[in-house]
Amino acid sequence: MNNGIADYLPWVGVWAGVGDTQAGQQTAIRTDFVPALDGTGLQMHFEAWDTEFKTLYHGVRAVLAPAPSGVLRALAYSTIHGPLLLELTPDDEGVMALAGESLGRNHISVTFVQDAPAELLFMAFWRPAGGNVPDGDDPRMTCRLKPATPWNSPTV
Amino acid sequence: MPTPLITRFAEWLGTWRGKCEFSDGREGLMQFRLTSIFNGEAIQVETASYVSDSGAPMTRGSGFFSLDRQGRVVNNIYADYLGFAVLVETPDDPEVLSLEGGLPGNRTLAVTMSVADDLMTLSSRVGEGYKSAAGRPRTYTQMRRVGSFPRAEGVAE
Amino acid sequence: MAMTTPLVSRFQSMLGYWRGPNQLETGRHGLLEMHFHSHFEGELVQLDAYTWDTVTGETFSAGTGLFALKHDGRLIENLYVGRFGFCMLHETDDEPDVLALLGDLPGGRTMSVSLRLEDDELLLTSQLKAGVVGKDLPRTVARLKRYDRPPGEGA
Repeated sequence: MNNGIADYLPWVGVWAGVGDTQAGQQTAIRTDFVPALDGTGLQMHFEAWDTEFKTLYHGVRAVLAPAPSGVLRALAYSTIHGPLLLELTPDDEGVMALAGESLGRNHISVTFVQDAPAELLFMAFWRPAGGNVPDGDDPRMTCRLKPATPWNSPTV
Repeated sequence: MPTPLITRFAEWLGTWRGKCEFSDGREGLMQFRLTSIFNGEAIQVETASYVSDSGAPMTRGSGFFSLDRQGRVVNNIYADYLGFAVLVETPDDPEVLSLEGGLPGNRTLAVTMSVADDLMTLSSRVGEGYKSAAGRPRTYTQMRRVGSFPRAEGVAE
Repeated sequence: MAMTTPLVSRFQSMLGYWRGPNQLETGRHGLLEMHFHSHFEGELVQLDAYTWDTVTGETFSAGTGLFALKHDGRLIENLYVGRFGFCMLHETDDEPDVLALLGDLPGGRTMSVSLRLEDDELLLTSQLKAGVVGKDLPRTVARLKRYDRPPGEGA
């Protein structure tokens, strides 16, 4: 079980990868985790582009922070869904599972899973109010993100 | 795996504030913000000082820590009241970072920094030419980490 | 530089850093720094706000607000303040030069915030009102100066 901001601090930095959007297009994703609110929160800036970086499919800016009760929530803005308040669902260590409803009553789910030391599996989907609950085959945005490690010339 | 730079400076990352006495006699509130960038290959250092009560700006600076081939810290800096400089680590105690480099106008800048018990101490002195600057006034600040910065094991990349 | 959008045009003159003395509703004095910045080609304006002790520099209040426009052209602010938690503020009618917002906090309380530019000063007022029972807290007022560009230069 996690639930503290500290659990996610090892993710601070830039992550990138190529995956698929919920609509099936190939997408290049870059996400940047930054400590926020003097270290009591974590800010995430997420961008999903077409692979030629001409069209921003989806942009999300979010700040994960503790409510006075101690529960973590994420304040967010999505270029598709507008203002969002997402709840952090308790989950295993290395998992950030966020879910909530948009003002338009769309259900949004965003999950990052650290399934290797330098890999985050990103999954997200949204469905309209009253829509079916997706099973494993329903479309979702997925991407394997790696730390954006600077290029090093091969050792001679 | 944290980089050698982050392994050494993980405890320094975050935002720090505290009272500062400048070499010209003024006093203010100093703020340092150290952020790991490029997956730990460098640390960005943003500095600002303010008039304590009004928040009016006094000084502003920016810089980067990185390691050279010998493993020494290289700190390229800009400060609005000093200009640009490249400082290179000089020998000191293991827990202390001492840096020195040339400034425009035949001046030198020496900086000493350390972090102990969540207190960052910084002392800097501007000298002229090849002479030792030991007798010249220094800028001195002790800063505390602001907010309750939680740290995980192996923090920051 | 963000494109000018209907949202950014509302905040154009506020984008950047502001600082000034502040007193929280708790009575504690400090220095408030507010930073307005826009993202996603002007679709979103983010406000980061910190209040710190003027002697020690310790941060004792921190918050973030995300401003967007609703379909009706009115503002909505998705707000987090450490000591209150999360809330959604909606724009309310006020003078043309005042940005006024109102929303519900947990525990039945409401929060009202207003922003007004007066020459080169940003005037911020806020008030917490109790629910059915309890007492309204005094309205707080902060006058902030812009320090990231010369006075009179505008946005």
